[in-house]
Amino acid sequence: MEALLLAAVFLPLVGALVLGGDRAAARRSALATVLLTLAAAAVLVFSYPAGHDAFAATEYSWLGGIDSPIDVRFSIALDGLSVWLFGLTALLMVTAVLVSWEAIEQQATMFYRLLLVLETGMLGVFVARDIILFYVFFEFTLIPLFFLIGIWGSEQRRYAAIKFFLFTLAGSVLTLLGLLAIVLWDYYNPSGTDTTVWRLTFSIPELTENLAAEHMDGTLQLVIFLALFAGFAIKVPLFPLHTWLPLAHTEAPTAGSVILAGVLLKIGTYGFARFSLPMLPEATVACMPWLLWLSVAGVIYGALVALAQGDIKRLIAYSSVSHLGFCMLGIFALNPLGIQGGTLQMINHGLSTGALFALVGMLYERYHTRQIADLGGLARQLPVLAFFMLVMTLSSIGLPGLNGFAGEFLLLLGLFQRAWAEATAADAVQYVAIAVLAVSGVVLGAWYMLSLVQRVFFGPVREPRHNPAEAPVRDLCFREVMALAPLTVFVVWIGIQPRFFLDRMEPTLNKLTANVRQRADEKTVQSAERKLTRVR
Amino acid sequence: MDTIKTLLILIPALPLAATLLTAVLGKRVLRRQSHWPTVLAIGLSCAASLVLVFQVQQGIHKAESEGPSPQVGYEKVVTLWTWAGVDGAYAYSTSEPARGFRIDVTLRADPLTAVMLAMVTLVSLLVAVYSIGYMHDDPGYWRFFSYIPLFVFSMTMLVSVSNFVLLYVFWEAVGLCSYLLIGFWFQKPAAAAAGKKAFLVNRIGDFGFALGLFLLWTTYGTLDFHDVKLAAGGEGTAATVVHHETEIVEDADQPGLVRAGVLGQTMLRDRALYVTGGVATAICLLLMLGACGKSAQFPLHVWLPDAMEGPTPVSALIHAATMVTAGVYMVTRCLPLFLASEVALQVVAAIGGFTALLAALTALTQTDLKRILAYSTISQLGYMFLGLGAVTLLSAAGAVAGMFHLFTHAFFKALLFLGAGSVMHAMGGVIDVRRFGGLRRLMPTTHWTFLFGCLALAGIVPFAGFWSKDLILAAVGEQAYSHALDPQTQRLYYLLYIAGLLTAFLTAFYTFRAFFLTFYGEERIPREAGHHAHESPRSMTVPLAILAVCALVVGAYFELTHGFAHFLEQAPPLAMIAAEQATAEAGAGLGQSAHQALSHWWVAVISSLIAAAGIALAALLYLGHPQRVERLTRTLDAGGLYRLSRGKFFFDEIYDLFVVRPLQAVASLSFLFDRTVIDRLVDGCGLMPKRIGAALRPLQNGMIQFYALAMVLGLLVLLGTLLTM
Repeated sequence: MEALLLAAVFLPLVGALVLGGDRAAARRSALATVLLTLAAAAVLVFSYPAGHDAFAATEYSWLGGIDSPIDVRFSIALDGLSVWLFGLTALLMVTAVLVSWEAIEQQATMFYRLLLVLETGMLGVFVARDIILFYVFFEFTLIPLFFLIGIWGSEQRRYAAIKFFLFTLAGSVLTLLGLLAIVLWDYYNPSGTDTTVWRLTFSIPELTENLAAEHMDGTLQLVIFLALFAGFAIKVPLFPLHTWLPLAHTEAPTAGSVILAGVLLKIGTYGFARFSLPMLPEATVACMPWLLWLSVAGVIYGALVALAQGDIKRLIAYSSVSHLGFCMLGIFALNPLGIQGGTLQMINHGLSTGALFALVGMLYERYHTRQIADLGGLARQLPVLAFFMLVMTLSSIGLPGLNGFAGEFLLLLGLFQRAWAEATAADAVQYVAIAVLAVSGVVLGAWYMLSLVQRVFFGPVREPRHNPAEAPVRDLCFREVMALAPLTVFVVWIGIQPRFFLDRMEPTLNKLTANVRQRADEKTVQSAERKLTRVR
Repeated sequence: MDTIKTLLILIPALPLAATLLTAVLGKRVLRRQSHWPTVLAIGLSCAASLVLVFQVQQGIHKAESEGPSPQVGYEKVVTLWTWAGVDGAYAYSTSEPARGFRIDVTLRADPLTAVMLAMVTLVSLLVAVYSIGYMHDDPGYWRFFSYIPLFVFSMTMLVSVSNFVLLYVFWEAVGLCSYLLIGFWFQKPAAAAAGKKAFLVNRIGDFGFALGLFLLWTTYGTLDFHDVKLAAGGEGTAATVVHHETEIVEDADQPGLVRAGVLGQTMLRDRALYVTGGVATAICLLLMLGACGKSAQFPLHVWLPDAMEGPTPVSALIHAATMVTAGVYMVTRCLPLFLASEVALQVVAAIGGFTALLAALTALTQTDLKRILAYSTISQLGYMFLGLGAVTLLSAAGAVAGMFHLFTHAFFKALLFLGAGSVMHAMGGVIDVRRFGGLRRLMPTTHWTFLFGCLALAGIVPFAGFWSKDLILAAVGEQAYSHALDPQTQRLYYLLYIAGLLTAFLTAFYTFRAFFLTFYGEERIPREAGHHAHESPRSMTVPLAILAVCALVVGAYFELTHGFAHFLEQAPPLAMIAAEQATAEAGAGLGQSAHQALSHWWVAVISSLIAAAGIALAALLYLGHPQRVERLTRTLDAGGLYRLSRGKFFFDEIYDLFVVRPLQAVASLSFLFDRTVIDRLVDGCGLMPKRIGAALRPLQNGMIQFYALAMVLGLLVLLGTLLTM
């Protein structure tokens, strides 16, 4: 297993290096690489035993060592938080390669190289167990995507690429400072039995443990929390730091949008769950109301702006703002239902929105337009595409029986419970308001998505004037169906049996968030008891 | 595996299999034969449902013969698999370990479920057979026959699950089927728009339903209907001292711990365990909002008339007989919760009574035959809610009446819709009653069966609607004259009673208006029908005939034998009321039932007279005297009444003006804000280094004199500071 994880992470990088030849050869070897990676990832993910904190771990020193004053390691492993994100990444990469098959004509070799480098970066981010390594992988995701958008994007690609890059970089530099602050604090506040050994460790599990054992000053926690917040909130993106996202999504090539929505946004929420919650519990609890308000603002605002869109791709981009708001609401409800629901929703959003972007790409390849007004009645012309579009729309609006519902329901339940458990009446009202607004976001979500489907796929047929030099418009080919079918399988599977997925993440999440949950509940449990006796 | 479990699994599983089979093979292999899997599966499901009814009946007899037991009513629960579980989710006490959140896929058999299953599968079977003829030439034949069993699967699951989350799951699943089937002819813009509208209005209802579930969860810590036996040491609770007697208790019969379900035996036995007051009212009103969406009650009734854009068999099955009754089923199932809040029950009654009257008034002037029937469905559903709202702790009569009306209504309303479909089929798709007439000679079977449906809907003895509608009116009348209520409440029920009687009159009138316009007068056939206006094929008329017989007999048979009431009263929520009633009667002595029978007779006579008057008025106006109608219309129009009814009380326009447009405006403004404010701010930050650079650039101008001056000035300042210190 250890070798397999190592192989899965670096296989794409190797693939990128050996990739060559013309377009046909490049895409074939790219596909082979991502499929191999997927096979390795599948074996890892499905053999992951629930509760394992360092599954398939590989670790060796990079700089210094356990006994020396500085300890930077190359350390990777899977745990319950990362396992499904890891699998999702490997799965979406196959989709990304398949949707680029015909769409990428210029400099195809370079394109697939960058795509594969990006995959190593993303897989690495989720499995890294050392802060330096995490940051290296994190930056690794940034640069390939910058080029993918800047070279293969549409009209405004340069502006979009630069905006994406600067925005994310600015945030991630602050995040790095925050992470280094944690490392330094740990250095000056050694914990454990032998407090005489001063050691600079970058190991994430070690730091998590140390910070749980030693109490960091509240103000300092807050400062570090805000530094981490800068990077992660931009990545999520949290309202009002979201404006890079619609632009980047709209301008990126289809594969870029799929990856961006499916995986890269999750690095933000993953960061909160991996670092902020376990390491800075006091600051997390203090910031919880603010974050919940920002998240619910994103939910409603993203949905409203999506409602006003005439461009399909931008509509889905804004829907991401709304959906990621849900993930954040769940994670910052700071109770098991919310955290697990939020984490599951990260996967759900990756599947459904990744697929939706792929579908928009397929439409664009056929009609060279993304304007809703140019299209209509396509369910008749392209029944298979319409079928997938409908399934993914229903998944995205949280129809029970599909994956979106499972995540949304759990996290909203968690959010509601947070409201119920609050100590003072004012707090309770505040959280109930957040929960009710979040649920109304679900109604708005149905509105914009169903309007999209109605206008583009139903009604009388409306197509842009067809260029006679081109082949007639055809429904999805086998390759395109293969890009979507695996995602559909998971959409249904998670919907019917979310337990399978929850069970594997539950122990790790509970462990990681034990501190912060306890802190959040401290003030509330007694009040809930009081309330209950009052009601009865 | 015992019989009941097998049946409970088979009933939904067969239609599901048919869906998958038709979806995979329909287009290429089955084609014109695509109806076979559906008809066979639903037929077998129907047979299984009937067997289930007998099994439940036997179970009840067995329990009765064994003497008194602590069991409230009859129920049997089978668990299939766990949908989701989150440990330690419900922590409200420091001394008790947190409880897990666990949703099992659990099916139940009790009289309420059995009745619903039998009704749903039987009507579905008849509609499926009818559709073979009706959909015959449609290019989407296989698609239609893959949606229908999907609906039957979802609906049978909806009525047999034993958990609120799963109820919500299938609640939305039937909504999806409705969406797909309303938009079946998706090329028609009206159909596509109607599908979306139905989904969104239902989503608003579900918004309430979901909040209701969340509140239930935070209040009771479980979302199961039934009690769950906890395994020893399970979830870490068994080992600890249990002190929240409300939720986890010792099992009365067997040792071991039980987690009380929201509608489980423990709670039903001891009603004091239900939370009362504001929380109870909030839960019930939120659930009722969900019911209003699905069952098309005011203020969320606007989607149902538009839903008539779908194929007529769909209107008959989903939008008349089965899906729209889900709200009534849900409220009946949750009666124990509603009984904890008087306000909630009054709201249910008020919404029901108001909707019944409102929809009847609207139906008076509509000209689209299917929409007349749609408004009548809304109105009849209003009756059912009115009945449910008349339930008290001492009498479940209102609920029994409401469910009975649900049962009889399914038959005669499906009959009416299928009859309308038969007319539409013959008229080449025209459904406007102004464009055809005098069809009774052309379509004799349709004419006769439609007449049966009309008589049942109007509530004429001995047709089905008479019995059930009277029971509802009697239950409401009981409340209106009850001395147990405070004057204000009594007045409310009195008003609702009057509304119910008025609705009965209007119903008889508009039903026969439509009937006379369609089948009597001069024979007129629209151009679209061409030369082949004819009676419908056998596959359509046979279901019509069967339903017509049902419309004639189901009411009388089940009422005179008391079979329905006796059976249904064994459903746990109703049995709880019966138990309360027994206790109260034992305390206060008898004498109530004689009074009940008396008032019932009066109601029957009055409502029959009223219905007859309605038919008579319709005959007077629409049998050959068009000028009378003209005159009446003009008179009413002077007061704006006619226009109000014709315009459906302008609900669509009001919602458009006050909800849809403002939201769209806010959406556009948000987008503008996003581009002009937020994005500009961001770009502004991005430009900051450039701007600062630009501001500082003149300093570095390359002139030695300037640098020297700056140096001297700097030195002076420095020296000055040092000297003054």
